[in-house]
Amino acid sequence: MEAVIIFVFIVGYLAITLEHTIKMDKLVPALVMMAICWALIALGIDSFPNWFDSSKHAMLDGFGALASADKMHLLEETLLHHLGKTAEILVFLLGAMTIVEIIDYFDGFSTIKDLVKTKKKSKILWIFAFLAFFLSAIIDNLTATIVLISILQKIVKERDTRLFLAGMIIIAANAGGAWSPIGDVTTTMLWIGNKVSTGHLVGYLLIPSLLCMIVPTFIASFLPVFKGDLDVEDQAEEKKKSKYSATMLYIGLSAIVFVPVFKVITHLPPYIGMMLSLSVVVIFAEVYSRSKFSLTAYDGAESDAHAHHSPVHHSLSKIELPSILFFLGILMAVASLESLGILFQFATSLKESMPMLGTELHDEGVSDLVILLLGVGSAVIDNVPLVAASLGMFSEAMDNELWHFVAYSAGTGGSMLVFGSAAGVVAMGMEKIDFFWYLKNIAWLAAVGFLVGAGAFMVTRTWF
Amino acid sequence: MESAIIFIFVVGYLAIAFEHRLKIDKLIPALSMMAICWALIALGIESLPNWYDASKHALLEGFGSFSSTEKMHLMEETLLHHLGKTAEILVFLLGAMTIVEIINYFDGFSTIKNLVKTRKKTRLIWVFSILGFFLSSVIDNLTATIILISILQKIVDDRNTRLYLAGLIIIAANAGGAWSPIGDVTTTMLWMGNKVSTVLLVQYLFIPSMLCTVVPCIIASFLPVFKGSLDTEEQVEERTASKFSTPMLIIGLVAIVFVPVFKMITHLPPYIGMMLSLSVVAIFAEILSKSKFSISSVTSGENDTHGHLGPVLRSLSRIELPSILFFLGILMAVAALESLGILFQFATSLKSTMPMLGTELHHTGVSDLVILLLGVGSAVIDNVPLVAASLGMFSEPMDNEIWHFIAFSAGTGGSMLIIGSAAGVVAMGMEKIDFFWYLKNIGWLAMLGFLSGAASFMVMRTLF
Repeated sequence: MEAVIIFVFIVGYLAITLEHTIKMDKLVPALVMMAICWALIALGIDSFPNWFDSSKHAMLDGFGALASADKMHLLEETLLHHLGKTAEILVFLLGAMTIVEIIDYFDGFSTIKDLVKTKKKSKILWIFAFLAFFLSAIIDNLTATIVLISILQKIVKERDTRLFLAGMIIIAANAGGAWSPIGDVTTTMLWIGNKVSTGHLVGYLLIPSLLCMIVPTFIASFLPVFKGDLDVEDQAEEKKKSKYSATMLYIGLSAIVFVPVFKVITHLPPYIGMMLSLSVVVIFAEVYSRSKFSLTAYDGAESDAHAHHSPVHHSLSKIELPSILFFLGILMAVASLESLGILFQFATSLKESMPMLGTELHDEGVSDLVILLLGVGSAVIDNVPLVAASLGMFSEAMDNELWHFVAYSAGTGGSMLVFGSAAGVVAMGMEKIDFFWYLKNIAWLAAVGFLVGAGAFMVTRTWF
Repeated sequence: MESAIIFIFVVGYLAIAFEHRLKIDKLIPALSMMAICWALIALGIESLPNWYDASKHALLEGFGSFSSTEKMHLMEETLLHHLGKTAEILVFLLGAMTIVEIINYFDGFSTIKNLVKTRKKTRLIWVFSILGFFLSSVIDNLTATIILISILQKIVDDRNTRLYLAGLIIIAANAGGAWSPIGDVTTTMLWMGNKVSTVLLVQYLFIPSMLCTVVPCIIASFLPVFKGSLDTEEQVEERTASKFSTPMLIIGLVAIVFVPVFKMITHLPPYIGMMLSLSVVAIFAEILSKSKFSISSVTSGENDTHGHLGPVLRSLSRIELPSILFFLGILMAVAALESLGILFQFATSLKSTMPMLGTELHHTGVSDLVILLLGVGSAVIDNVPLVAASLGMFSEPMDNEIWHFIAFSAGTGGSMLIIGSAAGVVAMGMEKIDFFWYLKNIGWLAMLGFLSGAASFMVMRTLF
């Protein structure tokens, strides 16, 4: 049964990567593989030896001995947990995308185009990379990617440049998430599990992460696609469509900035703050669109159309539902593999079979190669179960440099494939990034960054 | 803190009810009240005396003595549980609505219009009510409502008739859910808690539930709005737009019927089966639209737009996202109140204050008035915590008639207000039903059905 589930997963995975060849939208294989994987688990529940408890991030003891009804109950709970976690991401995504669409409805991004005085593409590259790096450390890498790509879509019209920028945002956001305890799910797991302390984490990982972001960005700035200036297309002229453009931009951006503040105050998951921000932005949007309505009464037809289509409904109708369903499918399918403990076992077998590299600080410790491969592995599959596995495998003390290396590796290694990290999956849906395009154009940059950062870490770990 | 939360809830509730007068879309108050309620809970967690554990359907013991981090952890878990439950509904809704849109893309409902030979509006009432009643007992009331209203929107063009029919579907679906152990959340709770057995439940409640549907339908069939026939508007002519209209209708309906089958085989929540069905329908739609493309290459302009946007993407873009966000807000806000145990306490206080009616079977038992008021109460607030409270309050043995009365009352009483049942809330979003319109036009029908059903139950319970 386990082999069948893995087979279904691989077929679905291939169908997603070959999306453009088989001419089938990737949401179809994603949804099918989610439904079939879970159905197989439900039908074969009695034959599974292991179960991975996601709410505790650990393997369940004595799963095989449970009664069938208990197993079914456990399955339902785990499924609900995963759906809840997935919904947190989806609702947040919906909120962020809607706020950005509302700003765009009032043409707010024309203001940012004026603010970003430079039209040089390489400058824009650096701005986005640094924004992603620090934003991701403050909120988390997924959120930072969503926010920045939404904005990117409104600022950069040229598709090729935008794809490259999106790729660099993924690298920067994953790097930024690694050195902050709240920047990435895996780092948070290590932090909550008392494996790393905030002070040491920042000390050990800030420089490697920074290098992991700067080196690819530096190389990318010499690529032909970032040569020259951005096409402005003389959009500056028609920019004065709405006099609320600047106001709406500030309201929208402060609403987004308010989300991490809300999270810090209430400790609630960020989607709740995002929904509050959304309703505030919507109220302003409604008020402004009405005052526009009454002020400019000369163009009857246009005002009429505005009255019927409020800015909110208009913006919501522009949200990409297919991407939302795609995330749902892929996240829930990975969750099914995770629940069976397959990913967990993969990490355990990795540890046993790898030789020492000779670069290790302690001779009797864990091979550096294992951790590096953990990073590469996190590009192929989800990094959460891999880190969970290392939590169970390694018995090193708190703030042993091993844990920091795990945090770095699992956090940044995922950038090497487009669905190696949650940030990449989201970007894939939002920007229609092709799997092979990313592999050809971005992956090598990510790999260089990953290795440079890992090299830097081997130096910084001797300092403390 | 508790009173502040209730205050926010009441204000939000009023803003939703007065949506058309305030001219603010109901999704704004729904989302803000969700965010503010949960934020207040998170900030005031220390001062709350009780906590309602939603996954166990019971009040948590010794909550006051928990440490602050334990409370916070508990809140996060409860929140995740509610979000998961809400997402189950939303994802299912998305799937059902998309399948219906895809059928409509191929003009599939023109076939059903021909099948329903009669154009008499009164016949339509009976067709939809009986479908609603039995569908809801096979799947569940929420799902049945979603499916039937989606179909209704494509069949009946006259808005006023459609609103009335939607109201009657709500009544029928809630009634149909009451007598089947899987038809309604509250009935399922009583069934899982070993308070009612399937056989006795059907015996006690089938006739009362049936009356609860039939009585409003008979009265409604004399209303002026159901006089005469449906306008056909000569749409029969343009019906031949797609030759795949009938196959697509059959595929779509089979896919929807497959959902309860999938649920029975795997015991997984219905949204997973719905996603599988959706992908199958999507695959067929893509194939059929491609063959259409190659066969009828007469009008290249029309084909071009089809080529760019497949039927699936096009159907997804027509889904009403504002309704989805509205559900999210209102369901999560009710969940906030539920978590505080406020609804639970309301039910407990009801029991201790009500006098006996004299109609009770056992003089020492619980007053019938309490159960009837429970039904009325379930129209104002959510029925799940009310039933959960009665599970804790009453100590009658299994299959005592009081449990069946509770199942009937909590299941059908909610029809009296549009926000009284999940089915009503969904219909409100899908059909833009106004709170006061429903109160004026449907509320009294639902009440008559509820009372006649309750009366017949009092007769029925003496039979067994």
